[in-house]
Amino acid sequence: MTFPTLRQLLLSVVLLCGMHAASAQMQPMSEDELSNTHGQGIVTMTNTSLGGYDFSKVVLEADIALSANLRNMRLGEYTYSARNGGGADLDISLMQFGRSDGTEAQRLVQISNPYFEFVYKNAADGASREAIGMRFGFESISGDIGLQIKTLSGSMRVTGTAADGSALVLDSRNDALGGKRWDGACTSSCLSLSQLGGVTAGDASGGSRDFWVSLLKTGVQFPTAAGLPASDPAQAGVWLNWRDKLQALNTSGIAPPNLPKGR
Amino acid sequence: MRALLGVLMMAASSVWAMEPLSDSALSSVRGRDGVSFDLNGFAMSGDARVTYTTPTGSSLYAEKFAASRSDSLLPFSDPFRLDIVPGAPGLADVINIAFPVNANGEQRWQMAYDWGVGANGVVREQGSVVVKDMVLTGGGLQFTTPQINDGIAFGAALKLDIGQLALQPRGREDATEAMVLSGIHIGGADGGAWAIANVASQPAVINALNDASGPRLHIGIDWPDARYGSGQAPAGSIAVDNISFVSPGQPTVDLGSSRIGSIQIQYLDIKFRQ
Repeated sequence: MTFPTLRQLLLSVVLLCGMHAASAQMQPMSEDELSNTHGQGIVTMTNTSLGGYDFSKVVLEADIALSANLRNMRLGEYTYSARNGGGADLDISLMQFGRSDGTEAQRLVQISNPYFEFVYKNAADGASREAIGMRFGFESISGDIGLQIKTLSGSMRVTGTAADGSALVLDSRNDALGGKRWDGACTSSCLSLSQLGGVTAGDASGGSRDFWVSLLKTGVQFPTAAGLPASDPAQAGVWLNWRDKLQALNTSGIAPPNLPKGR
Repeated sequence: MRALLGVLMMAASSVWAMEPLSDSALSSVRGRDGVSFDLNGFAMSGDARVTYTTPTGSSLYAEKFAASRSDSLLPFSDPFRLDIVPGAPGLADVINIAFPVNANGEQRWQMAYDWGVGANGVVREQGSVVVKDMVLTGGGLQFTTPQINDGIAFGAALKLDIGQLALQPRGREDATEAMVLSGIHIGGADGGAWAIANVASQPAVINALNDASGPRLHIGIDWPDARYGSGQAPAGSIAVDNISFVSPGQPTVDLGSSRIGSIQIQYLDIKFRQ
Protein backbone atom coordinates (compact mmCIF):
# COMPACT_ATOMS: atom_id res chain seq x y z
CA MET A 1 0.00 0.00 0.00
CA THR A 2 2.90 2.35 0.66
CA PHE A 3 4.31 2.19 -2.88
CA PRO A 4 1.14 3.31 -4.69
CA THR A 5 0.74 6.19 -2.25
CA LEU A 6 4.30 7.29 -2.96
CA ARG A 7 3.64 7.14 -6.71
CA GLN A 8 0.53 9.21 -6.28
CA LEU A 9 2.47 11.72 -4.22
CA LEU A 10 5.22 11.95 -6.83
CA LEU A 11 2.64 12.34 -9.60
CA SER A 12 0.94 15.13 -7.70
CA VAL A 13 4.25 16.93 -7.24
CA VAL A 14 5.06 16.61 -10.94
CA LEU A 15 1.63 17.89 -11.89
CA LEU A 16 1.88 20.81 -9.48
CA CYS A 17 5.32 21.67 -10.85
CA GLY A 18 3.92 21.50 -14.37
CA MET A 19 0.98 23.71 -13.49
CA HIS A 20 3.28 26.17 -11.80
CA ALA A 21 5.61 26.25 -14.78
CA ALA A 22 2.70 26.69 -17.16
CA SER A 23 1.11 29.45 -15.16
CA ALA A 24 4.46 31.15 -14.73
CA GLN A 25 5.06 31.15 -18.50
CA MET A 26 1.62 32.36 -19.55
CA GLN A 27 1.28 36.11 -19.86
CA PRO A 28 -1.75 38.19 -20.69
CA MET A 29 -1.62 39.65 -24.20
CA SER A 30 -1.63 43.36 -24.67
CA GLU A 31 -4.39 45.02 -26.70
CA ASP A 32 -1.97 45.42 -29.62
CA GLU A 33 -0.92 41.77 -29.51
CA LEU A 34 -4.53 40.71 -29.23
CA SER A 35 -5.55 42.78 -32.24
CA ASN A 36 -2.84 41.13 -34.29
CA THR A 37 -4.08 37.67 -33.43
CA HIS A 38 -6.71 36.09 -35.61
CA GLY A 39 -7.93 32.66 -36.44
CA GLN A 40 -9.17 31.50 -39.80
CA GLY A 41 -11.07 28.42 -40.84
CA ILE A 42 -10.62 26.18 -43.84
CA VAL A 43 -14.19 27.10 -44.73
CA THR A 44 -15.94 30.41 -44.08
CA MET A 45 -19.67 31.07 -44.23
CA THR A 46 -21.78 34.16 -44.84
CA ASN A 47 -25.53 34.77 -44.62
CA THR A 48 -26.84 37.89 -46.40
CA SER A 49 -30.07 39.20 -47.90
CA LEU A 50 -30.61 41.44 -50.94
CA GLY A 51 -33.58 42.34 -53.08
CA GLY A 52 -35.96 39.97 -51.32
CA TYR A 53 -33.63 36.98 -51.60
CA ASP A 54 -31.55 35.27 -48.92
CA PHE A 55 -28.03 34.13 -49.69
CA SER A 56 -25.86 31.58 -47.88
CA LYS A 57 -22.26 31.49 -49.07
CA VAL A 58 -19.72 28.75 -48.29
CA VAL A 59 -16.13 29.62 -49.21
CA LEU A 60 -13.14 27.26 -49.26
CA GLU A 61 -10.25 29.33 -47.91
CA ALA A 62 -7.52 28.00 -50.17
CA ASP A 63 -4.95 28.94 -52.78
CA ILE A 64 -5.16 26.71 -55.84
CA ALA A 65 -2.84 26.26 -58.80
CA LEU A 66 -4.46 24.48 -61.74
CA SER A 67 -3.74 23.18 -65.20
CA ALA A 68 -6.84 21.68 -66.80
CA ASN A 69 -8.65 21.36 -70.10
CA LEU A 70 -12.44 21.39 -70.42
CA ARG A 71 -13.98 20.63 -73.79
CA ASN A 72 -17.47 20.47 -75.28
CA MET A 73 -19.26 22.22 -72.47
CA ARG A 74 -22.97 22.80 -73.08
CA LEU A 75 -24.89 24.01 -70.07
CA GLY A 76 -28.63 24.70 -70.01
CA GLU A 77 -29.90 22.93 -73.13
CA TYR A 78 -33.54 23.99 -73.33
CA THR A 79 -35.67 26.00 -75.74
CA TYR A 80 -35.52 29.74 -75.21
CA SER A 81 -38.12 31.25 -77.47
CA ALA A 82 -36.79 34.84 -77.46
CA ARG A 83 -33.54 33.62 -79.08
CA ASN A 84 -32.78 29.94 -79.07
CA GLY A 85 -29.36 30.46 -80.66
CA GLY A 86 -27.22 27.34 -80.40
CA GLY A 87 -29.76 25.67 -78.12
CA ALA A 88 -27.82 26.09 -74.89
CA ASP A 89 -27.24 28.95 -72.45
CA LEU A 90 -23.51 28.33 -72.48
CA ASP A 91 -21.85 26.60 -75.41
CA ILE A 92 -18.10 26.60 -74.78
CA SER A 93 -16.10 24.26 -76.98
CA LEU A 94 -12.86 24.89 -75.09
CA MET A 95 -11.91 26.28 -71.70
CA GLN A 96 -8.34 25.57 -70.67
CA PHE A 97 -6.64 26.72 -67.52
CA GLY A 98 -2.99 27.44 -68.24
CA ARG A 99 -0.85 27.26 -71.37
CA SER A 100 2.21 25.25 -72.37
CA ASP A 101 3.81 27.60 -74.93
CA GLY A 102 4.95 30.28 -72.50
CA THR A 103 6.85 30.59 -69.27
CA GLU A 104 6.79 28.08 -66.42
CA ALA A 105 4.45 30.38 -64.47
CA GLN A 106 2.04 30.54 -67.39
CA ARG A 107 1.50 26.78 -67.20
CA LEU A 108 -0.76 27.31 -64.21
CA VAL A 109 -3.74 29.43 -63.33
CA GLN A 110 -3.90 30.73 -59.76
CA ILE A 111 -7.28 30.59 -58.04
CA SER A 112 -8.23 31.76 -54.56
CA ASN A 113 -11.29 30.95 -52.49
CA PRO A 114 -13.69 28.94 -54.63
CA TYR A 115 -17.23 29.17 -53.30
CA PHE A 116 -20.82 28.06 -53.57
CA GLU A 117 -23.66 30.46 -52.82
CA PHE A 118 -27.22 29.22 -52.39
CA VAL A 119 -30.21 31.49 -53.00
CA TYR A 120 -33.57 31.19 -51.27
CA LYS A 121 -36.75 33.12 -50.79
CA ASN A 122 -38.22 33.16 -47.28
CA ALA A 123 -35.19 31.37 -45.92
CA ALA A 124 -36.31 31.83 -42.32
CA ASP A 125 -39.58 29.94 -42.79
CA GLY A 126 -39.22 26.21 -43.25
CA ALA A 127 -42.82 25.93 -44.52
CA SER A 128 -42.56 28.52 -47.32
CA ARG A 129 -38.82 28.45 -48.03
CA GLU A 130 -38.17 28.42 -51.79
CA ALA A 131 -35.08 27.29 -53.69
CA ILE A 132 -34.12 29.93 -56.27
CA GLY A 133 -30.78 28.50 -57.32
CA MET A 134 -27.07 28.76 -56.69
CA ARG A 135 -23.81 30.02 -58.08
CA PHE A 136 -20.23 28.74 -58.14
CA GLY A 137 -17.28 31.08 -58.45
CA PHE A 138 -13.78 32.15 -57.49
CA GLU A 139 -13.00 35.19 -55.37
CA SER A 140 -9.84 35.58 -57.43
CA ILE A 141 -8.43 34.04 -60.60
CA SER A 142 -5.28 35.03 -62.47
CA GLY A 143 -3.43 33.59 -65.43
CA ASP A 144 -4.04 32.66 -69.05
CA ILE A 145 -7.30 30.89 -69.86
CA GLY A 146 -7.84 29.62 -73.40
CA LEU A 147 -11.44 30.12 -74.50
CA GLN A 148 -13.58 29.28 -77.47
CA ILE A 149 -17.15 30.41 -76.75
CA LYS A 150 -19.90 29.81 -79.29
CA THR A 151 -22.83 31.02 -77.20
CA LEU A 152 -22.75 33.12 -74.06
CA SER A 153 -25.50 33.79 -71.57
CA GLY A 154 -23.94 36.19 -69.18
CA SER A 155 -22.15 39.41 -68.53
CA MET A 156 -18.64 39.50 -69.91
CA ARG A 157 -16.19 42.24 -70.79
CA VAL A 158 -12.76 41.75 -72.35
CA THR A 159 -10.39 44.38 -73.67
CA GLY A 160 -8.11 43.68 -76.61
CA THR A 161 -5.79 45.24 -79.11
CA ALA A 162 -6.31 45.17 -82.87
CA ALA A 163 -3.49 44.49 -85.35
CA ASP A 164 -3.17 48.23 -85.94
CA GLY A 165 -2.78 48.85 -82.22
CA SER A 166 -6.26 50.26 -81.66
CA ALA A 167 -8.25 49.25 -78.62
CA LEU A 168 -11.03 46.69 -78.93
CA VAL A 169 -13.70 45.71 -76.45
CA LEU A 170 -15.95 42.69 -76.15
CA ASP A 171 -18.94 43.61 -74.00
CA SER A 172 -22.15 41.62 -73.66
CA ARG A 173 -23.89 44.81 -72.54
CA ASN A 174 -23.95 45.78 -76.21
CA ASP A 175 -26.31 42.89 -76.92
CA ALA A 176 -29.92 43.96 -77.39
CA LEU A 177 -31.20 40.95 -75.41
CA GLY A 178 -28.98 41.62 -72.43
CA GLY A 179 -26.47 38.87 -73.13
CA LYS A 180 -28.87 35.89 -73.14
CA ARG A 181 -27.88 33.28 -75.77
CA TRP A 182 -25.54 35.85 -77.37
CA ASP A 183 -23.33 34.67 -80.23
CA GLY A 184 -20.90 37.51 -79.61
CA ALA A 185 -21.33 39.09 -83.02
CA CYS A 186 -20.70 42.81 -83.18
CA THR A 187 -20.05 45.54 -85.69
CA SER A 188 -17.61 48.45 -85.84
CA SER A 189 -14.43 48.48 -83.75
CA CYS A 190 -15.24 45.73 -81.29
CA LEU A 191 -14.00 42.29 -80.36
CA SER A 192 -16.38 39.44 -81.17
CA LEU A 193 -16.57 36.13 -79.33
CA SER A 194 -15.34 34.32 -82.44
CA GLN A 195 -12.17 36.44 -82.37
CA LEU A 196 -11.49 35.61 -78.75
CA GLY A 197 -8.93 32.83 -78.26
CA GLY A 198 -8.59 33.36 -74.55
CA VAL A 199 -8.01 35.88 -71.81
CA THR A 200 -5.36 36.91 -69.36
CA ALA A 201 -7.21 37.24 -66.07
CA GLY A 202 -5.94 39.70 -63.49
CA ASP A 203 -3.15 42.23 -63.62
CA ALA A 204 -0.25 43.44 -61.53
CA SER A 205 -2.65 44.62 -58.83
CA GLY A 206 -4.26 41.19 -58.37
CA GLY A 207 -6.56 38.61 -59.85
CA SER A 208 -9.91 38.95 -61.55
CA ARG A 209 -12.54 39.01 -58.80
CA ASP A 210 -15.90 38.31 -60.36
CA PHE A 211 -15.85 34.93 -62.12
CA TRP A 212 -19.00 32.98 -61.34
CA VAL A 213 -21.57 30.74 -63.01
CA SER A 214 -25.13 30.67 -61.69
CA LEU A 215 -28.03 28.27 -62.06
CA LEU A 216 -31.32 30.04 -61.37
CA LYS A 217 -35.07 29.67 -61.78
CA THR A 218 -35.49 33.44 -61.99
CA GLY A 219 -33.32 36.52 -62.34
CA VAL A 220 -31.30 37.48 -59.25
CA GLN A 221 -29.10 40.40 -58.22
CA PHE A 222 -26.22 38.79 -56.33
CA PRO A 223 -24.42 40.62 -53.51
CA THR A 224 -21.47 42.71 -54.65
CA ALA A 225 -17.92 41.49 -54.09
CA ALA A 226 -15.63 43.73 -52.05
CA GLY A 227 -14.04 46.49 -54.11
CA LEU A 228 -16.17 45.88 -57.16
CA PRO A 229 -19.18 47.70 -58.61
CA ALA A 230 -22.50 45.85 -58.50
CA SER A 231 -22.59 42.99 -60.98
CA ASP A 232 -25.26 42.84 -63.67
CA PRO A 233 -28.33 40.89 -62.51
CA ALA A 234 -28.06 37.22 -63.41
CA GLN A 235 -30.85 36.00 -65.66
CA ALA A 236 -32.73 32.72 -65.23
CA GLY A 237 -31.01 29.60 -66.52
CA VAL A 238 -27.24 29.17 -66.64
CA TRP A 239 -25.41 32.51 -66.48
CA LEU A 240 -21.70 33.37 -66.62
CA ASN A 241 -20.40 36.58 -65.06
CA TRP A 242 -16.82 37.70 -65.77
CA ARG A 243 -15.88 41.32 -66.33
CA ASP A 244 -13.04 42.24 -63.98
CA LYS A 245 -9.51 42.66 -65.37
CA LEU A 246 -9.76 40.56 -68.54
CA GLN A 247 -7.36 41.14 -71.43
CA ALA A 248 -7.71 39.21 -74.70
CA LEU A 249 -4.84 36.82 -75.43
CA ASN A 250 -5.30 37.46 -79.14
CA THR A 251 -7.89 38.39 -81.75
CA SER A 252 -7.35 35.32 -83.93
CA GLY A 253 -9.80 33.11 -82.07
CA ILE A 254 -7.09 30.48 -81.61
CA ALA A 255 -6.52 29.18 -78.08
CA PRO A 256 -2.89 28.53 -77.07
CA PRO A 257 -1.83 24.92 -76.46
CA ASN A 258 -2.05 23.48 -72.96
CA LEU A 259 -0.11 20.23 -72.96
CA PRO A 260 1.03 18.48 -69.79
CA LYS A 261 4.49 19.15 -68.44
CA GLY A 262 6.74 16.21 -69.22
CA ARG A 263 8.27 14.25 -66.35
CA MET B 1 0.22 -52.80 -46.02
CA ARG B 2 2.47 -53.03 -49.08
CA ALA B 3 0.24 -50.54 -50.87
CA LEU B 4 0.54 -48.08 -47.99
CA LEU B 5 4.31 -48.42 -47.98
CA GLY B 6 4.35 -47.81 -51.71
CA VAL B 7 2.34 -44.58 -51.35
CA LEU B 8 4.62 -43.37 -48.54
CA MET B 9 7.74 -44.08 -50.57
CA MET B 10 6.31 -42.19 -53.56
CA ALA B 11 5.52 -39.26 -51.32
CA ALA B 12 9.02 -39.39 -49.87
CA SER B 13 10.55 -39.42 -53.32
CA SER B 14 8.47 -36.41 -54.31
CA VAL B 15 9.80 -34.61 -51.20
CA TRP B 16 13.30 -35.39 -52.38
CA ALA B 17 12.32 -33.69 -55.66
CA MET B 18 11.89 -30.35 -53.86
CA GLU B 19 14.69 -27.84 -54.47
CA PRO B 20 15.53 -24.66 -52.57
CA LEU B 21 14.44 -21.47 -54.34
CA SER B 22 17.07 -19.07 -55.54
CA ASP B 23 16.86 -15.44 -54.39
CA SER B 24 15.50 -14.32 -57.73
CA ALA B 25 12.91 -17.11 -57.77
CA LEU B 26 11.98 -16.30 -54.18
CA SER B 27 11.52 -12.63 -54.93
CA SER B 28 8.98 -13.42 -57.62
CA VAL B 29 6.80 -15.46 -55.25
CA ARG B 30 3.81 -13.58 -53.86
CA GLY B 31 0.91 -14.78 -51.84
CA ARG B 32 -2.60 -13.73 -52.79
CA ASP B 33 -4.60 -12.59 -49.83
CA GLY B 34 -6.74 -9.65 -48.94
CA VAL B 35 -9.84 -8.47 -47.20
CA SER B 36 -13.27 -8.01 -48.63
CA PHE B 37 -16.26 -6.34 -47.06
CA ASP B 38 -19.79 -6.39 -48.35
CA LEU B 39 -22.37 -3.83 -47.29
CA ASN B 40 -25.16 -6.25 -48.00
CA GLY B 41 -28.39 -4.94 -46.46
CA PHE B 42 -26.65 -1.85 -45.08
CA ALA B 43 -28.85 0.90 -43.65
CA MET B 44 -28.29 3.73 -41.19
CA SER B 45 -30.25 6.65 -39.82
CA GLY B 46 -30.27 8.82 -36.73
CA ASP B 47 -30.09 12.33 -35.36
CA ALA B 48 -26.31 12.70 -35.42
CA ARG B 49 -25.04 16.16 -36.31
CA VAL B 50 -21.60 17.21 -37.56
CA THR B 51 -20.75 20.90 -37.10
CA TYR B 52 -17.77 22.80 -38.43
CA THR B 53 -17.19 26.03 -36.52
CA THR B 54 -14.75 28.72 -37.65
CA PRO B 55 -12.65 30.74 -35.22
CA THR B 56 -15.01 33.68 -35.84
CA GLY B 57 -17.99 31.60 -34.71
CA SER B 58 -19.77 30.98 -38.01
CA SER B 59 -20.70 27.37 -38.58
CA LEU B 60 -21.75 24.79 -41.13
CA TYR B 61 -23.63 21.70 -40.04
CA ALA B 62 -25.02 18.52 -41.53
CA GLU B 63 -27.35 16.26 -39.58
CA LYS B 64 -29.83 13.41 -39.61
CA PHE B 65 -27.90 11.28 -42.06
CA ALA B 66 -29.78 8.41 -43.60
CA ALA B 67 -28.37 5.89 -46.04
CA SER B 68 -29.37 2.48 -47.32
CA ARG B 69 -28.25 0.18 -50.07
CA SER B 70 -30.00 -2.39 -52.20
CA ASP B 71 -28.08 -5.57 -52.88
CA SER B 72 -26.80 -7.81 -55.60
CA LEU B 73 -29.01 -10.73 -56.58
CA LEU B 74 -26.33 -13.01 -55.10
CA PRO B 75 -25.64 -11.64 -51.60
CA PHE B 76 -21.93 -11.12 -50.74
CA SER B 77 -20.95 -11.91 -54.33
CA ASP B 78 -19.61 -8.45 -55.21
CA PRO B 79 -17.86 -6.87 -52.21
CA PHE B 80 -15.42 -4.01 -51.71
CA ARG B 81 -11.94 -5.55 -51.86
CA LEU B 82 -8.87 -4.40 -49.98
CA ASP B 83 -5.55 -5.81 -51.17
CA ILE B 84 -1.87 -5.04 -50.95
CA VAL B 85 -0.67 -5.11 -54.54
CA PRO B 86 2.77 -4.58 -56.06
CA GLY B 87 3.53 -1.04 -57.12
CA ALA B 88 4.89 -0.08 -60.52
CA PRO B 89 8.57 -1.00 -61.01
CA GLY B 90 10.68 0.92 -58.54
CA LEU B 91 7.68 2.11 -56.52
CA ALA B 92 6.31 0.97 -53.17
CA ASP B 93 3.50 -1.54 -52.78
CA VAL B 94 -0.01 -0.15 -52.87
CA ILE B 95 -3.06 -0.53 -50.65
CA ASN B 96 -5.80 -0.97 -53.22
CA ILE B 97 -9.50 -0.63 -52.39
CA ALA B 98 -11.58 -1.80 -55.33
CA PHE B 99 -15.24 -0.83 -55.34
CA PRO B 100 -17.82 -3.46 -56.31
CA VAL B 101 -17.97 -4.14 -60.04
CA ASN B 102 -21.74 -3.67 -59.85
CA ALA B 103 -22.07 -4.36 -63.57
CA ASN B 104 -25.85 -4.58 -63.44
CA GLY B 105 -26.28 -1.62 -61.13
CA GLU B 106 -28.04 -3.69 -58.49
CA GLN B 107 -26.19 -2.03 -55.63
CA ARG B 108 -28.05 1.28 -55.34
CA TRP B 109 -27.70 3.84 -52.58
CA GLN B 110 -30.44 6.04 -51.18
CA MET B 111 -29.20 8.91 -49.00
CA ALA B 112 -30.41 12.06 -47.31
CA TYR B 113 -29.17 14.65 -44.85
CA ASP B 114 -30.19 18.07 -43.58
CA TRP B 115 -27.82 21.00 -43.44
CA GLY B 116 -27.57 24.60 -42.42
CA VAL B 117 -25.32 27.66 -42.15
CA GLY B 118 -24.84 29.81 -39.07
CA ALA B 119 -23.28 33.20 -39.83
CA ASN B 120 -23.87 36.92 -39.43
CA GLY B 121 -26.00 36.28 -36.37
CA VAL B 122 -28.44 34.03 -38.23
CA VAL B 123 -28.73 30.26 -38.37
CA ARG B 124 -30.31 29.33 -41.68
CA GLU B 125 -31.63 25.84 -42.18
CA GLN B 126 -30.98 24.98 -45.81
CA GLY B 127 -33.37 22.03 -45.89
CA SER B 128 -32.48 18.55 -47.10
CA VAL B 129 -30.29 16.99 -49.73
CA VAL B 130 -31.94 13.84 -51.03
CA VAL B 131 -30.03 11.40 -53.25
CA LYS B 132 -31.87 8.61 -55.03
CA ASP B 133 -30.40 5.62 -56.82
CA MET B 134 -26.71 6.39 -56.60
CA VAL B 135 -24.77 3.66 -58.39
CA LEU B 136 -21.01 3.22 -58.21
CA THR B 137 -19.70 0.98 -60.97
CA GLY B 138 -16.14 -0.14 -60.46
CA GLY B 139 -13.44 2.36 -59.66
CA GLY B 140 -11.68 2.53 -56.31
CA LEU B 141 -8.95 4.07 -54.19
CA GLN B 142 -5.19 3.52 -53.87
CA PHE B 143 -2.86 4.51 -51.04
CA THR B 144 0.91 4.33 -50.82
CA THR B 145 3.98 6.35 -49.88
CA PRO B 146 4.73 9.40 -52.03
CA GLN B 147 7.52 9.26 -54.61
CA ILE B 148 8.77 12.57 -53.20
CA ASN B 149 7.99 14.55 -50.03
CA ASP B 150 6.07 13.34 -47.00
CA GLY B 151 2.46 12.46 -46.60
CA ILE B 152 0.18 9.95 -48.24
CA ALA B 153 0.02 9.35 -51.97
CA PHE B 154 -3.32 8.26 -53.29
CA GLY B 155 -5.20 7.49 -56.45
CA ALA B 156 -8.92 7.57 -57.19
CA ALA B 157 -11.07 6.30 -60.03
CA LEU B 158 -14.78 6.91 -60.29
CA LYS B 159 -17.79 5.91 -62.31
CA LEU B 160 -20.89 7.30 -60.68
CA ASP B 161 -24.50 7.57 -61.75
CA ILE B 162 -27.18 9.25 -59.65
CA GLY B 163 -30.84 8.89 -60.49
CA GLN B 164 -31.80 12.12 -58.77
CA LEU B 165 -30.23 14.67 -56.48
CA ALA B 166 -32.70 17.14 -54.99
CA LEU B 167 -32.17 20.19 -52.80
CA GLN B 168 -35.44 20.30 -50.87
CA PRO B 169 -35.57 23.48 -48.75
CA ARG B 170 -38.70 22.35 -46.88
CA GLY B 171 -37.25 19.03 -45.77
CA ARG B 172 -36.84 15.51 -47.07
CA GLU B 173 -40.53 14.71 -46.72
CA ASP B 174 -41.62 17.63 -48.92
CA ALA B 175 -40.50 17.19 -52.52
CA THR B 176 -43.02 19.71 -53.87
CA GLU B 177 -40.44 22.50 -53.48
CA ALA B 178 -37.03 21.58 -54.86
CA MET B 179 -34.14 22.12 -57.20
CA VAL B 180 -33.82 18.77 -58.92
CA LEU B 181 -30.87 17.36 -60.86
CA SER B 182 -31.92 14.17 -62.61
CA GLY B 183 -29.60 11.66 -64.24
CA ILE B 184 -26.14 12.70 -63.07
CA HIS B 185 -23.34 10.79 -64.78
CA ILE B 186 -19.67 11.14 -63.81
CA GLY B 187 -17.05 8.88 -65.34
CA GLY B 188 -14.38 8.52 -67.97
CA ALA B 189 -14.94 10.17 -71.31
CA ASP B 190 -14.49 6.69 -72.82
CA GLY B 191 -17.39 5.30 -70.77
CA GLY B 192 -15.32 3.55 -68.11
CA ALA B 193 -14.14 4.80 -64.74
CA TRP B 194 -12.43 8.19 -64.62
CA ALA B 195 -8.95 7.85 -63.11
CA ILE B 196 -8.74 11.28 -61.49
CA ALA B 197 -5.41 10.28 -59.94
CA ASN B 198 -3.18 7.20 -60.03
CA VAL B 199 -0.38 6.45 -57.58
CA ALA B 200 2.06 5.74 -60.43
CA SER B 201 1.03 7.61 -63.57
CA GLN B 202 -0.43 10.73 -61.94
CA PRO B 203 -0.21 10.58 -58.16
CA ALA B 204 -2.25 12.65 -55.77
CA VAL B 205 -0.87 13.52 -52.36
CA ILE B 206 -2.12 14.85 -49.04
CA ASN B 207 0.37 16.29 -46.57
CA ALA B 208 1.38 19.35 -44.59
CA LEU B 209 3.71 21.83 -46.24
CA ASN B 210 5.52 24.78 -44.79
CA ASP B 211 5.65 28.13 -46.51
CA ALA B 212 6.07 31.72 -45.42
CA SER B 213 2.71 31.61 -43.61
CA GLY B 214 3.57 28.43 -41.69
CA PRO B 215 2.36 24.84 -42.05
CA ARG B 216 -0.57 24.37 -44.41
CA LEU B 217 -2.75 21.41 -45.26
CA HIS B 218 -1.97 20.52 -48.86
CA ILE B 219 -3.76 18.33 -51.39
CA GLY B 220 -2.45 17.99 -54.91
CA ILE B 221 -2.44 15.99 -58.13
CA ASP B 222 0.91 15.92 -59.90
CA TRP B 223 1.57 16.19 -63.62
CA PRO B 224 1.07 12.93 -65.55
CA ASP B 225 4.21 10.79 -65.57
CA ALA B 226 5.05 9.24 -68.94
CA ARG B 227 7.31 6.66 -67.24
CA TYR B 228 4.24 4.90 -65.88
CA GLY B 229 1.54 5.77 -68.42
CA SER B 230 0.70 7.67 -71.54
CA GLY B 231 1.91 10.99 -70.16
CA GLN B 232 -1.59 12.39 -70.66
CA ALA B 233 -4.16 13.12 -67.97
CA PRO B 234 -7.18 10.81 -68.31
CA ALA B 235 -10.29 12.54 -69.59
CA GLY B 236 -13.49 12.46 -67.57
CA SER B 237 -16.94 13.72 -68.31
CA ILE B 238 -19.91 15.06 -66.36
CA ALA B 239 -23.48 15.07 -67.62
CA VAL B 240 -26.82 15.95 -66.07
CA ASP B 241 -29.85 14.77 -68.02
CA ASN B 242 -32.16 17.41 -66.61
CA ILE B 243 -32.18 20.32 -64.16
CA SER B 244 -35.51 21.69 -62.98
CA PHE B 245 -37.13 23.74 -60.23
CA VAL B 246 -40.50 22.70 -58.85
CA SER B 247 -42.69 24.80 -56.55
CA PRO B 248 -46.29 24.45 -55.39
CA GLY B 249 -48.59 26.63 -57.49
CA GLN B 250 -45.85 27.62 -59.92
CA PRO B 251 -44.98 26.20 -63.34
CA THR B 252 -41.93 23.94 -63.34
CA VAL B 253 -38.81 25.70 -64.59
CA ASP B 254 -37.04 23.23 -66.89
CA LEU B 255 -33.41 24.08 -67.66
CA GLY B 256 -32.85 20.95 -69.75
CA SER B 257 -29.62 18.99 -69.82
CA SER B 258 -26.04 20.08 -69.19
CA ARG B 259 -22.72 18.39 -69.83
CA ILE B 260 -18.98 18.80 -69.97
CA GLY B 261 -17.78 16.34 -72.59
CA SER B 262 -14.15 16.16 -71.50
CA ILE B 263 -12.29 17.22 -68.36
CA GLN B 264 -8.55 16.72 -68.01
CA ILE B 265 -6.98 17.70 -64.70
CA GLN B 266 -3.29 17.94 -65.58
CA TYR B 267 -2.11 19.51 -62.33
CA LEU B 268 -3.86 20.59 -59.16
CA ASP B 269 -2.36 22.08 -56.03
CA ILE B 270 -4.61 23.15 -53.14
CA LYS B 271 -3.11 24.84 -50.10
CA PHE B 272 -5.56 25.59 -47.33
CA ARG B 273 -5.08 28.68 -45.21
CA GLN B 274 -4.66 28.26 -41.52
